[in-house]
Amino acid sequence: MSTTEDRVATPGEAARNETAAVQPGAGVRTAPPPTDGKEAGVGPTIDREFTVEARSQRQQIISRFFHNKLAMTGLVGFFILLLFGFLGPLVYKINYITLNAGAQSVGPGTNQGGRFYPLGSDAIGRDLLAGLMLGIQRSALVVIIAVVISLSLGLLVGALAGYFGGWLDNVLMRLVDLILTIPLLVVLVIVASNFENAKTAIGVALLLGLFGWLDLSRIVRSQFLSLKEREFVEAAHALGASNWRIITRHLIPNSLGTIIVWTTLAAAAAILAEATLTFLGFGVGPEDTSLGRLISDGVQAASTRPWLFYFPGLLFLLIVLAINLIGDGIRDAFDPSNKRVRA
Amino acid sequence: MLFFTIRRVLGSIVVLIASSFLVFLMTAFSFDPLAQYRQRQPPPPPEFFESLRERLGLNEPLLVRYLSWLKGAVTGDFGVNVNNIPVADQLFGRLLVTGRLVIAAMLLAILLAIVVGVVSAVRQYKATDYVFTVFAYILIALPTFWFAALLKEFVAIGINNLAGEKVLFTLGDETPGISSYGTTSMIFWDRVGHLVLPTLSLGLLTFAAWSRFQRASMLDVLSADYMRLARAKGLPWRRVIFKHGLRNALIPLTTVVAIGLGAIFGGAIVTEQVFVWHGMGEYLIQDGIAKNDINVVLGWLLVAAFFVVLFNLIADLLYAVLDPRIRLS
Repeated sequence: MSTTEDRVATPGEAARNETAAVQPGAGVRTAPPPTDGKEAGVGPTIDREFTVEARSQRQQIISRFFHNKLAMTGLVGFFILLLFGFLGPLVYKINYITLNAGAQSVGPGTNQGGRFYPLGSDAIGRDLLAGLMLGIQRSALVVIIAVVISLSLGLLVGALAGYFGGWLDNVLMRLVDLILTIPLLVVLVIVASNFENAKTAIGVALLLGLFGWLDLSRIVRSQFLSLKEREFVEAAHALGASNWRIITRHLIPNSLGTIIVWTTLAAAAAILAEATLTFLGFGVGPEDTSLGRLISDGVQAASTRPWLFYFPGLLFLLIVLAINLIGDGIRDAFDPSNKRVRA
Repeated sequence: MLFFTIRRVLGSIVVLIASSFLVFLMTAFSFDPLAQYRQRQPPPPPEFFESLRERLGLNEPLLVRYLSWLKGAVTGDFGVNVNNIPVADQLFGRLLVTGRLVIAAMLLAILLAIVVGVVSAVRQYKATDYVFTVFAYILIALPTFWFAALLKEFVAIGINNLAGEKVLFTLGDETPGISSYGTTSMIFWDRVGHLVLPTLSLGLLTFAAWSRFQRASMLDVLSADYMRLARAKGLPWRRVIFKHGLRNALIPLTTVVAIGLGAIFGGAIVTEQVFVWHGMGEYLIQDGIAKNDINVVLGWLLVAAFFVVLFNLIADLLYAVLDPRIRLS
C-alpha cells in the first residue's frame, strides 16, 4: 500500500523542493540536449500514445534518466574511470610504491631505468600511471566512507528535527546554523590538526563524513516538515504505524530524489575537499596516496615536471565532471516538469 | 522595515555570541597553549608549567576563561600571540590583504554570474548557452589550487614570456618593501597588479556555480505569467527582462552569495597559499595552527564568523528590499 502512495507523492515533492535540492550542489542544472528532429517525429509517436503501456512513476524516472544524453555520458565516463582504477592494475602490473632510482622525473613516454613510463614518473621514480590507478581506488574509498557517514548522520539529524519538531528541532537546527558560521574548510583544518597521525585516506574520509552532513540535515528537515502534513502520513498514523515505520517507509522514500541528488553532489564535494585538505597539509600525507595527494604534488612540480601537474588534474576534472553530470541527470529525471528529456 | 531590521540585527548578535562560544570550545579542545615549552630540551620543571598556567589563567574554569576572552574581544583586544605581539594588530593587517582578494573576487563573480546567467537563460539551448554551460561545468569540477596554479604557472608565465616583461605578478600581495619607499599611487597600482591573478582564479571558480543559479532562477522568472502580461501590455522587451525579470531573479542569488561567503573565505585561504600572499590564510595555518597559537586561531575564527554572520544579515535585509512580501510577513 505504501508503495502506491510513494509513487503518487514523489513527482510533486520533487518539483516543490526543487529550490531546496538546488542549494547544496552549487545549483548546477543541466541543460539537457535538445531532442533532435528524428526522435521527435510526429507519426509513430502519436500512434504509440494510444497503445503505450501504463508505466509506474519509478519506471518513468529511470527512463527519463536513461534518455538524458549528458547524464548517460557522465555515467559511462564514470564507469570507464572506475574500470581504469580498479581493473587497470590487473593489466598494467606495476606497483606504484616501487621506487626507481634509475628513472626519476622522467617525462611521459620515456623508456628509462629498465622500464617504459607511459605517463612519466615523479621525483622518486614512482610510475604516474600506476599512481593514478591507485589514486582512483583511494579516492573511491574516501568518497564511500565519507558519504555513508554523512548520509546517515544527515538523515538522522534531519529526521529528528523535521519529524519530531519542537525543542529538538530548535536545538539541532541552531547547532547546524552555528557550525555553519565558521567556514567549513577551517573547521576541517582545525579538527584535522589534532590528529597528526591520521593523515591517511581513511582518516580524511572519517573527518569529511563527520562534518559533511550539515546541509543534508537541513534538506531532509525541510522535506520532512512538508511531507509529514500530508494525508498519506496521517493515514499511516491512523493505521497504527510507528514513527520508525513512517519515517523509513513513507518519508524517506518520498524524499529519495533529493537525497540521491545530494549524495552525488556530496561525492563530488568529498573528492574536492580531500584534495584541498591535502594541499593545505591536513589531508592525506606522503605515506598514503590519493588523487588529492597526486594533484598537490603535481602543483609543487608544475613548472619543472608539468606532466605531474596536468595528468592528475585532468583525471580529477573528468571524475568530478562525470559525477556532476550524473547528479544533474538524476535531478532532471525526478522533475516531471522537465519536458525536454523524453520519458 | 525598521522593526524588521532591528529584529534581524539583534538576532545576528545573539548568533555571533553563541558562535564565539562554539569557537572557543573548539579551540580550547584543539590547542595546547603550552605546547612550545613542552618541546624544550631539557624539559622545564613542572613548577614552570604550573606558574605559566596560573599566569595565563588556564586553571580557571572554561566559562570564566571564555568570558574574559570575550570581554577583551568585544573591546578589540584579542590577546597576544606566542611572541607577545597583540593579535588584533596583526589580524587587522592580514584582514585588509585578504579582504582585497575576497571583495574583488566576489564583485567579479557576482557581475559575471548575473551577466552570464541572464544571457544563458534568455538564449536557452542556443550556442551561447552551451558554451557558458560547458565552461561552468569545467570550472565547478576543478580544485581551487589546481586552477590557481594553472593560471600562475602556465597562463601568467606564458603571457610574461610572450610580452618579454613582467606583465602579470605571480607571487605575493605586493612587491616586497614597496610600502617603505613607494608613493601612495605606486603602492596602489602595485597592489592592483598583484591582485589580478588571484582575483581571476577565485572569482572564476566562484562564478561558475553562481551563474548556474542565476540561469535557473532567471528561467523560472521568464516563464512566469507576469512576464507575459508585461509583454502583452506592450512594454519593450528589454524593459521587461531587466525591470520585471531581473529584479525578481536576483532574489535567490543574494542568499547564495551570502551563504557562499564561508566557501569564498576557504577558497581565499587556498588561493593565497598558491600565490604566496601574506594574508589570513597564511596567518591561520602558519602562525596559528602550526605554532599552536590559541589566541591567533581564536581571533581568526571570530573575525571569520563575524563576517559570515554579517553577510547573512545583509542578505536578509536585501531579500526584504527586493521582495516586499518578506518584510511584511
